Amino acid sequence: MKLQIHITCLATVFSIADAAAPPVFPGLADPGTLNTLSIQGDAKDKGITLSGRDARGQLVVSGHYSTGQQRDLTGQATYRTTPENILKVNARGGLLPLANGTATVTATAKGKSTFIQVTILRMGTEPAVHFDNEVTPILTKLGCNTGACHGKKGGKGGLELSLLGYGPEMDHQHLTRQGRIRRIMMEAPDLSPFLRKATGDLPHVGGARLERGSPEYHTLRRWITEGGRRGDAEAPKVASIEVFPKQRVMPRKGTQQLRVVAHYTDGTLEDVTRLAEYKTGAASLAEADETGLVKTRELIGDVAVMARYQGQVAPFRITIPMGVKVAQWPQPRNFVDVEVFRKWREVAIPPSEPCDDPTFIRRVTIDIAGRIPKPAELSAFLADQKVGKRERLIDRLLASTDHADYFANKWAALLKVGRGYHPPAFRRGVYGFHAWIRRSLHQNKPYDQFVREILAASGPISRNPNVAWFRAPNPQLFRKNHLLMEDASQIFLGTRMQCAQCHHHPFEKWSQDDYRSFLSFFTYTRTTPVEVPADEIGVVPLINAAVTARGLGDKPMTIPPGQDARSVMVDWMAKPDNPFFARALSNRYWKHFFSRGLVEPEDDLRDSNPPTNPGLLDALAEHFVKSKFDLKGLILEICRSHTYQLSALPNEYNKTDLQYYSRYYTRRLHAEVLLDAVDQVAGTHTVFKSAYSNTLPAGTRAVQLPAATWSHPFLNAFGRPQGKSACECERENSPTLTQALQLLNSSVINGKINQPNARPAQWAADTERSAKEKIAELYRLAYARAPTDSELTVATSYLERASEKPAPLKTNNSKPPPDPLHEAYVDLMWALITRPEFLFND
Amino acid sequence: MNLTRNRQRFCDGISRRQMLQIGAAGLAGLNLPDILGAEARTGRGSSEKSVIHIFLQGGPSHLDMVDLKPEAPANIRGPFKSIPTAIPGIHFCEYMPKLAKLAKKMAVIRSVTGFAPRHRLFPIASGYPREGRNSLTELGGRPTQSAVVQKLMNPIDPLIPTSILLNRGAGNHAEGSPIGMQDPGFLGPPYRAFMATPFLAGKQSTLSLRQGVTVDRFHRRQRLGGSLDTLRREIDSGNRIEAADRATQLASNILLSSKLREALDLKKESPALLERYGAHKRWDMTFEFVPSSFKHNYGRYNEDLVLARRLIEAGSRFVMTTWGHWDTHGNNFPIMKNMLPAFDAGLSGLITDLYERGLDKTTLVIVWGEFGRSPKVGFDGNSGGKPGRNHWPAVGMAMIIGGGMQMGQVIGKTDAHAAAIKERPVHIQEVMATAYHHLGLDPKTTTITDPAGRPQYLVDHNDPIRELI
Repeated sequence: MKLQIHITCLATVFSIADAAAPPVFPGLADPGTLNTLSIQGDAKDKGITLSGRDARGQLVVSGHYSTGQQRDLTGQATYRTTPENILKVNARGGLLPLANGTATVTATAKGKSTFIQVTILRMGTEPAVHFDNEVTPILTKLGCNTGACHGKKGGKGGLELSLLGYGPEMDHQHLTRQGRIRRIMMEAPDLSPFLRKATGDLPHVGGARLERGSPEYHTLRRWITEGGRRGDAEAPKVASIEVFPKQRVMPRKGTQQLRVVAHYTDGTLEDVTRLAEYKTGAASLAEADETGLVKTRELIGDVAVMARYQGQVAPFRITIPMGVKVAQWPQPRNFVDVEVFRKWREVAIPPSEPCDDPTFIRRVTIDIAGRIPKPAELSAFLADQKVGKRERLIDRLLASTDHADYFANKWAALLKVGRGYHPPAFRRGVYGFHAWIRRSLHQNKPYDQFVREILAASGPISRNPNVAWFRAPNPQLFRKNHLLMEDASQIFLGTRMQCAQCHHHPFEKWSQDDYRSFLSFFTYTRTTPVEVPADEIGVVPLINAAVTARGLGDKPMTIPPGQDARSVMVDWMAKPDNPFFARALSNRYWKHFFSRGLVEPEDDLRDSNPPTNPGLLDALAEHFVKSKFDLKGLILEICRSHTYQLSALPNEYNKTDLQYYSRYYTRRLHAEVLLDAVDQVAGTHTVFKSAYSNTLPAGTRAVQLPAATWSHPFLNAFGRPQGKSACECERENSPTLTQALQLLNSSVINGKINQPNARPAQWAADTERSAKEKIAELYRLAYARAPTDSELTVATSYLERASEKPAPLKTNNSKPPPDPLHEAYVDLMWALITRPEFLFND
Repeated sequence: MNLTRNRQRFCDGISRRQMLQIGAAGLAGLNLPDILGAEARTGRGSSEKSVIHIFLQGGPSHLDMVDLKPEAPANIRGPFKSIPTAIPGIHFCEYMPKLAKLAKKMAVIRSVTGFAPRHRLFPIASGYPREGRNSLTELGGRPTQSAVVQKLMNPIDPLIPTSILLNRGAGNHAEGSPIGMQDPGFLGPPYRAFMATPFLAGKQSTLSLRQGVTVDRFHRRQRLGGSLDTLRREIDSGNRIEAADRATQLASNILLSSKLREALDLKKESPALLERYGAHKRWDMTFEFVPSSFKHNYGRYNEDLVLARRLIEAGSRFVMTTWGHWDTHGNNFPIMKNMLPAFDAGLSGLITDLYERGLDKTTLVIVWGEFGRSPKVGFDGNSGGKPGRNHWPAVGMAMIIGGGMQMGQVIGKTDAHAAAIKERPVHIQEVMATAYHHLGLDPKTTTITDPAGRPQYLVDHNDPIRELI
């Protein structure tokens, strides 16, 4: 019975979220009148050239309207070709070559016309099929070489192909030489098992994937007829691909035909629309079919469709606007606002109101200093009437050691402080390294210098604790150079190289060659154990030989003898035009304050995973470089922006916004911050124990712990990272049952609020101050605000009812009977700290 | 323009899009927390399928249990005799008479392969080695099956945790911490299976109200908290506050309901039932020369089997426990002679109980250890100068019970000395794939994204054992 009642009273909590019907958005406004049409050629003001019988082309017809809008009219236009015998154009703008020559294609839609010259070459005189450039893309498009099919390690059904075609040499070998050399049959190409399997003519686990008579079939068949040769190894390769259009503002339920052109290393162009693959970033917003036709759906938002061909990727960016009329946009305070507001205007999404002062001080204190504000800070801040009080608060927090503690906690997990360290090396490898991180952040060491002092650390650990990053003293946990490189590229360049160790990165341009060339920066480093004393280890760069290495996406460089290759690598990273270094840090810090990175995951920056607001990421990175890598300066700009200071309360339209930062996104406090906050409210301390060392100063808070070696059930339950991975995603912020049990009923929480010297006991014993004053103090402590009148009434009456209770009778038990008023204060504190208002930063 | 209709799909039926949820998320796109989202995707909320995973820690001797070789020389076959089972032509060890009678209610795999050569339960709990190739050590390691189930599946009963670890008897010998069974790997601590042992009846626990908080006071606190909870839930983004509210509600219900506590309370079972499981006595070792580390209270392990059944019945999906200490070496035969009857009683009790309650249709039981033991009765560094059986990772056995699968069969065959697999090798991952299949998580299509952003299949050898399904 009691259970039933309980469930009903909690159920009211959920009703709000379910009740709200989705608001109606006007969407993209009427385009106005059609002024002109245009057709995209191979280059600006150029025609289109197709080469060979199996070539296919794609027209994209755009309508230019009086409002400045551009809309796709490819599927609505009618096409006329003169002369008619050169090529055919289908209803969707697809081009089919018929004979050599040049023709004019005229497109007409809604009373407007435009034309383009199309030239057909080499009909019947096609050069021999080139395996790498012509067969591999077909295998990729058909899905033959995916990880689930023949691209799997060891292959499927006896045939192994390289994953997504990164190793054409092996693929060629396997297709032409394996399978008792019977996969292809030059004399009777149509009987080749290679083709018969693909068409489903022979039983094929992967099913029928190729249509007999299609251009792809013709190409593969011709390749067999010509002898199944690999072709000229020096032939031009695809250098990049280009998508047209690059971006569009599209209405809901709109369509857009794409055109993809491959640029070869010799400068030639090829229309590869038909052979490219298309992937949408969010199927709920837009989908693309295999012909490059994009369709938006009923939702609004930003989404990118990626085109991929021969390992190259290019995005088509779509904005599907909300189209709400906003009477007045807020004034931008800095470049952050300029870029964010630009997006809001484009989408026409109205932002939430600015947050009030109590909300702001709690939010910014948690985000910068990793703790909840103290009542005295709150009063001083609220009393401050001078202009610029929020900026002054940000400055004060950034200067505090609490900021260094909190951000050292963040970086220590990423740098795996404590991982694999046991006594006796523990002192230097853990305390020393952590103390250095904290000190560097407190001094606001320029970020490039910070990174240099880690990545190029040398010497014995007794003199330079940073070498702890290179290896743990335990020989079982030798950190191999390639793992160091992978960590370094993920943490500092936002680039995940793990895949490229074994195969071409499936969604990115990184090859095994890129992997090894970048690894060379680390290769000539030796980590050396020194037996005596037992805690001494060190890093020695071997600098007596020249090293050839290559930064990601850059040219090879030779590092002369006498120079530490790692330091040269940091030089490369810190170059103002490095496309990764400043962007990776900017995105990481942006996510710290806004819960969602401009790129997600925050350390996976790549062409195929574009930022939601590219202009903003560029602006942040540019500012960061210009400021000479001033970390605190970046935080200041982020926190003083109008954007950061918005309320979490949504308006009619932005409830579901999770990508435009049009309101503050709430999130749970980190495990360490939460435990410290409980202590701060209760007036207690937590004692942390480690298996190896307990020598922490008294009163050390959870965010100050040097490593996860100091374990605590509360921290573990709330998802504190163990320093296992170089990704902040190791921190787990999903609510779980174990967490709820910890909060509601653990000896940790109950123990703290019941302590005889904790605040509830003090309040119960204090007869000087009124109950209302104490309740107000509790609210300031826990929620950084004053209680409302009704909250004050509820809390006061709860305390009054407790004090009206008759004093409990003395029992034979030696324990003193519980004081009802003390219990009531304990209950009140419990009631406040188990609620989302305490657990979440809003 | 159309090549063929199905080419956007991989050969195993997943579309590329499902595998690559990359790039920008939409307004109504990825806004659910992972936990809710994953559950919604699997859509298995209503099924009542469950698994009991019993680890015979230390490496059970397949030659002395289900794969005896009476024709082999004495230094291979050992002193134990074989007895016929309910399946004609299939023999078990003479010290497993009850299981022999129940042979039609179980399936024995004699040809399990893929074991790691070390005393660790992690490989048979996750399907992967701790270190080395494909172990994802740098990302936190592979998650064990318990963590995967915790992550991907809805609870059957909201008052009972999805994955539960019972390991009361284990841990008092050095090798291989039982913690390996519940390691969440890269999924992270929130997916660690619920450790039930500290919550067994009679122990201080966060499952029942504590430190002077009575049910009345808890209600008072909750009412107070409810009326002071003025936070407007519209500020929620990505449903995180909602998820926290739900977790709080579940925890409160558990604290106020006695269901989980009662499921963990053996006093609710009749003495007669405990006796059927052999859970009524200690089963002390009668041989004095057996090292003290083997003198376990085997009745305690059988109690855990009763608890496992109680938890499954209460609504858990995945219950793990260890049974016994099988790292026998030089004491193999005296220990097995003493331990097997206790094991025989416990497992036969569980089988009979599951069938009587009809749970054999919904619950799959897997019984196995980290490897087999050496065919040759011999000496090694651990045998203490006495002939016994040592580690043998080349082959091991597994017993499979229930799950609505084909029982009463023996799968696979070893050679004349039970040293190598002769027919039908079954990889440890195929055993796990069978469990995933049973739970409704298709091992051929289900993936979890690791922290590096790569989709990982639950296991690589992803064919459920075809003879069973």
